[in-house]
Formats: sequence, structure tokens, C-alpha cells
Amino acid sequence: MTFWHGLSGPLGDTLNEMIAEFNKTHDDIEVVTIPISSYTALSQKLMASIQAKKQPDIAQVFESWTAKYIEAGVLCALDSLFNEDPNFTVEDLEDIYPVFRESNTFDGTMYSFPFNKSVRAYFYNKDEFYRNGLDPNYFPTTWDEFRHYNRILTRDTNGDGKIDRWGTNLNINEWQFINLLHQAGGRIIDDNGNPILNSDAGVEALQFLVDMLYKDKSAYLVRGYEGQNDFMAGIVAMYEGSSVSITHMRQEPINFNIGFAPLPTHKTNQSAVSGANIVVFKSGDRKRERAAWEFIKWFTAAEQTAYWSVKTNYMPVRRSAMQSDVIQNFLAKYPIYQGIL
Amino acid sequence: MSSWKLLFMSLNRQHGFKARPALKGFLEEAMDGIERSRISPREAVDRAAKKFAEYIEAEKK
Repeated sequence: MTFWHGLSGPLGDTLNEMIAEFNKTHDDIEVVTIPISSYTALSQKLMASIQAKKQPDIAQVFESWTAKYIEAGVLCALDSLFNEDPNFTVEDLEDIYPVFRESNTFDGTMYSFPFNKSVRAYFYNKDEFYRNGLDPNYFPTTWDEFRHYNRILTRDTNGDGKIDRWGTNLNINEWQFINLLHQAGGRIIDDNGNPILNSDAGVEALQFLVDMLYKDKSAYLVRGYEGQNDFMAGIVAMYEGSSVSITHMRQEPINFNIGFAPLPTHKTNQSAVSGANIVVFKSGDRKRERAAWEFIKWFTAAEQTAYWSVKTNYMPVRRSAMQSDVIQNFLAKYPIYQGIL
Repeated sequence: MSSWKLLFMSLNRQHGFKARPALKGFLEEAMDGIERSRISPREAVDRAAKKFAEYIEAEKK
């Protein structure tokens, strides 16, 4: 079976390791992975494969891609596969976090399964906190507190009149804004699909960023990976990234004590989950489709999703995985991960 | 149910991947307007919402 995905680096390495284990333990199924260089390239390649009627058996996808594939009639309904599987119970299905079940269910049918899911998190320099008289084991929990910390951590350390240590930097992106908007009590669109991001909540979300940038002057704008690089260089004390960012950061030496924390909150504590899902394309061969489901079932079982999570910092997709020895032992050994796992 | 309806659902629940680059662009423009022209956050989000609405209408066609 072919499996197209867009994971690379340490994430792709862990995926390959797990697929090798699946192949070793399943005599009658072999999953062959085809890594694609980026999600954009993966999307284009999948679309071309569908037009040529040569789609892979399994692919990593986002919700909007799934919506298009459903319309094209090329996806297997996963509930038709797991309903005929005696080894996948209602309890198994309900063990998957509701937010993941809902976001993979389209018009009452589950067409995809959660695969690599992540949330936004803060990474912070505990040494900088300590140097500025802040408790290194406490991260601000509200917008107001975060802004206060930001002002304290922004300094001119060599007296040349220029700021050389910053509280945070901001890479303007939709994920961050969506989180702020929801935390301020707003939404992106209404039930009819009309944008309502310019509600009072939207203004409040943007005002929060603008105040830090231009009123407090405790943050600066960055693009691409500048923000993460400046954090790694000790220029900025608090950096917002994906929970998976730490897996990439660990590729380089980290020369300070690093802390992880959930996002500060405001009127609500909502935080958008991102990351991709996994689908099975119709092949006309039910045996093949069942084998694809067998792989998805295995990969998202408690033991595997727990392992995937501790190796990559993606979220486990099942509730029971959080209670597994794999995750509990990991959190006991590395308690700082409790903020983001 | 149309793919756009499904996308809208996922936008509110999570956020649809297809619309993300557009929304990011409109937010960047909003911030750029604040930085360069000192427009207010109210004006900036109004502009972003208007452009996002135009984008959605164009994509529906």
C-alpha cells in the first residue's frame, strides 16, 4: 500500500520507524511511504493523482482537501470500514477526543482520522525569567499578565540606548489570530459563511498585538523562522510556536533552560487544533481498503499514538493514551512537557 | 453539502487549510496598514474581513 505524506526531518524519521514496525508485525500488509516535500506539493500531487485516477491508498490531508475529495467521490467512508471491523469497538471510537471525531466527520460520515495534531504553545527562556526576577517555573496565564511580563523582559542590557532583549516577537499568522479572536469571544465566520472577524472581539485581538508592538514596544514583527531563530539565540524570551516546534529546535543545541506553556487566555481559553488527518482512497478492492484501515487503526491505537506523541510532541489522539505508561513515564521524566502534550 | 460549507465548518472548528494563506495575507496587510499608515485596528480588521469575504465569493464561483 502506498502512503503519501508531507512529514520530513525528525517527524518523518519517527513515522518511518513506526511504519517499519507495522510492516514487521503484519505479514500480509506492507505500507510503502512516499514523502512529499511540503503540504502544498502534497496537495497538488494528490489532486493530479485523482485526475489521473492513480491516487495512493492512504494520504495525509487537511479538512478542506477532504471536503473536495468527498465531492469528487474518491474517498472510502472510514465508518463503513470500522463498522465491519470486530476489533474496533464503540469504546475505541469514543476514546478518540471529540474535537478530532467532529473535525473528521463530514455531514454525518467519518471520512478521515486524526493523524498529526498540534496546538500553539509558548516556549520561554527560563534563564531570562530568572535574570529579571520572575519565577522561571511560572508562565503568564492571561493576556494582561503576558503583556506585563513582556514589558519586564524587554531591555537595553548594554546601555547603548537600543533594545537588545525582547519579551516576544510576532509572526503575524492566521493561527495566532484565530486563537486570539476566539479567546476574545469572537469567530472567523458565521453559520452562513460570512466573515465576522471584524467584530469587537476581532478589534480587541488586533489591539492586543498592536499595543505590544507600538505602545509598549515590547515585541517586534518577524517572518518565517526568524522568530524561532531569535529565541534560540536568546534575543527574545517568549516565543509562540506549534507544540511540534520543540522537535525541530532540538536539532540544534539549546544553550539555556527552556520552558513550555499553554497559551495565555482572555475571556475564553479556546485554542485551535491544527495538523493533518489521514484518509483512505477508494481502490475498488475492498481487501486493500480494509488493509489501509488496519494501518490507520494500528497507528492511532493507544500504544502507537502515545509513542508518536512522546517522539514528536504531536498530540495523542486518544484519551486513554494520556494514561498509558509511555506518556506517564515520559511526563514523569520530563515534567515540562505537561504544558503542551 | 458543498465543500465550501464543509470548509466553513472546519474554519470555525479548526481552520480550513485552503483559506489559511488568504487569511494570513489579509492579516499581514492589516498589520502593514497599522505600521505604515497608522490605521486603527478597527479599520484594519474591517479591511481584512472585506477582503476575506471577496476571496470567499471568488472561490465559490
